[in-house]
Amino acid sequence: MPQTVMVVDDSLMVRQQVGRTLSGAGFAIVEAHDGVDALAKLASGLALIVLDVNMPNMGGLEFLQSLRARPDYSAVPVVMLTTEGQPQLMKQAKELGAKGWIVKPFKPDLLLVAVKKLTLPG
Amino acid sequence: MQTLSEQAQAFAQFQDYLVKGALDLFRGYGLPVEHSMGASAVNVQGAAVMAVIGYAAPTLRGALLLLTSREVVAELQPVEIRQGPPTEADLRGVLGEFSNMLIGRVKNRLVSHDVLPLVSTPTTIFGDDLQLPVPTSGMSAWHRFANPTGDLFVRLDATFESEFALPAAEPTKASIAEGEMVLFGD
Repeated sequence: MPQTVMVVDDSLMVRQQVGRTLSGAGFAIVEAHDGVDALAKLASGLALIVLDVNMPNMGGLEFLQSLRARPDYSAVPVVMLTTEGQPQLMKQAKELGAKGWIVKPFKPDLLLVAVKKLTLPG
Repeated sequence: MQTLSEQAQAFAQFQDYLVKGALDLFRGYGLPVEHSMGASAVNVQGAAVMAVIGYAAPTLRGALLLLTSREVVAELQPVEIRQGPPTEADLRGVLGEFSNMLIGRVKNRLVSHDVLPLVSTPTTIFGDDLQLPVPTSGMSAWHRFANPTGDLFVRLDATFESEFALPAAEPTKASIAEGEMVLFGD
């Protein structure tokens, strides 16, 4: 059974790009267009979340805070994928438990390395 | 208080970051472009798409506008996600994301100057014979990125408050580069 990755980004293009990259490597994809949508689509068995920072309604860091407050999802690895490269924002994300930070545009092979490393069993 | 000359210098630095960022971004997505300053009036005949994204810091605000034909936007769409002729949603999504990535590049260069603007989410306009609106205040510059399929016009607007300052860039405060990844240790 494939592992499921949620892609949270308000950009259709980015959701499609990430989805195509990861589904080609055998992952199942769930898409969400902002933090509110992502919270509504949380389901058990989620292997990883790829998360944008700047989104309408609820941004990535706010979503991350909500996610960590939910015991069932507090351990789900999160990789930030954003145009932001500010060290201060990276520090905030790390403190909220994010596992990685990629500045767009992403290199597909680099994203795959991160996702595979963070979804290894155990 | 900043003089107009100092504001003009700051705006020139913004434009330098914009042009370098745009050349790198468009060429990185397989669209060869040549840069020149925009003409006095800019419009795209026929089916066009425009994307607008705003930015603001305590003493600074402005917007970035992208305007081009639908054919050019279709060429910008990454090959791996093309599935037949692009829909209106695809084209809006592509140009909106390019405006986001381009303002992101400018913003990430400004971080090393200790200028940290917030960026809005992009808005897109779909229509025929679109024209770039005339700016109502502040400084503004149009840039033309020529491509065999059609021109891509980029306009950067900025309004500086009198307290605005652009300190010299400090490499130690620089953002991580576009395309790069950092994995956090425990």
